[in-house]
Amino acid sequence: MGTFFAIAVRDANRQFAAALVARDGAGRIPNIVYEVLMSGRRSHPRFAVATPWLGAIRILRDVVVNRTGDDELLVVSNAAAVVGEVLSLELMGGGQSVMVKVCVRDSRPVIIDGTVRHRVRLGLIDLQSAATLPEDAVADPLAIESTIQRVAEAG
Amino acid sequence: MVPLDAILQASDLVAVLGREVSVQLLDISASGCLLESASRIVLGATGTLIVMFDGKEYCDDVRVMRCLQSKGASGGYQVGAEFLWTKAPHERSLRRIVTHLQASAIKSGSFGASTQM
Repeated sequence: MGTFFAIAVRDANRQFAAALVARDGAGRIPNIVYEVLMSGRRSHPRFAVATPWLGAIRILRDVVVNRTGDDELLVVSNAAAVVGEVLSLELMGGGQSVMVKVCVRDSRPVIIDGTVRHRVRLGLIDLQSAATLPEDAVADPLAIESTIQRVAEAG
Repeated sequence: MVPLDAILQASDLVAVLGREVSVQLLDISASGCLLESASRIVLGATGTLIVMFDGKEYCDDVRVMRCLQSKGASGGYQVGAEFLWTKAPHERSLRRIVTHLQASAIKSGSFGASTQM
């Protein structure tokens, strides 16, 4: 049955293409796509959740950082930031690593080497409690203590 | 005292900015999931998705494939995320939840597209 249907569709497409070629008159096939290739993602059964599961998505991006003041850093990023949003900044260098909480104070687009970048001004939050990370620390999500809870607390 | 200045002056300085966005998982399949978020997430962004299921924390690396504003009054964003097969599924991998759900659905005879849980 499935094979029959596939053959029938293929034959219909051939007839359609033949009709278009005939209509074009010059023997050229017009720029029309007969079939839309389905993404493989949709080939799997999806399970809807009656009560949405709570969670968080942690997105990392590398930035170039400079210090501008005692409680402020200036970073250049390839994505804009939302003013007032609290982010985490991990710094690694000289055999040491540190993670600080920062608050976005300003975000402006700038052109650097002909490319649009974003200059983001970050205010340091509670530098005293900044966590010093071991140099061999890896970004293991399971090692992050209850990220969801922290996000929920932050609102 | 945190040696912030020393790190900032290091010649091999690497800086990573992390953003944590709270989300709600609406549906899930073996290849990805649909999330709802209060804020927009950049298309193509990759990150780690962590969700609570059955009292446990599950996570996986994902890539944001689409981000559309919800039509409802909530004003949030619906985010389509695809699982990244950067590593084999581990014990707390979201991808393993899906196989568990599929097995449960087959047992209960309710296997099919968009099964309600």
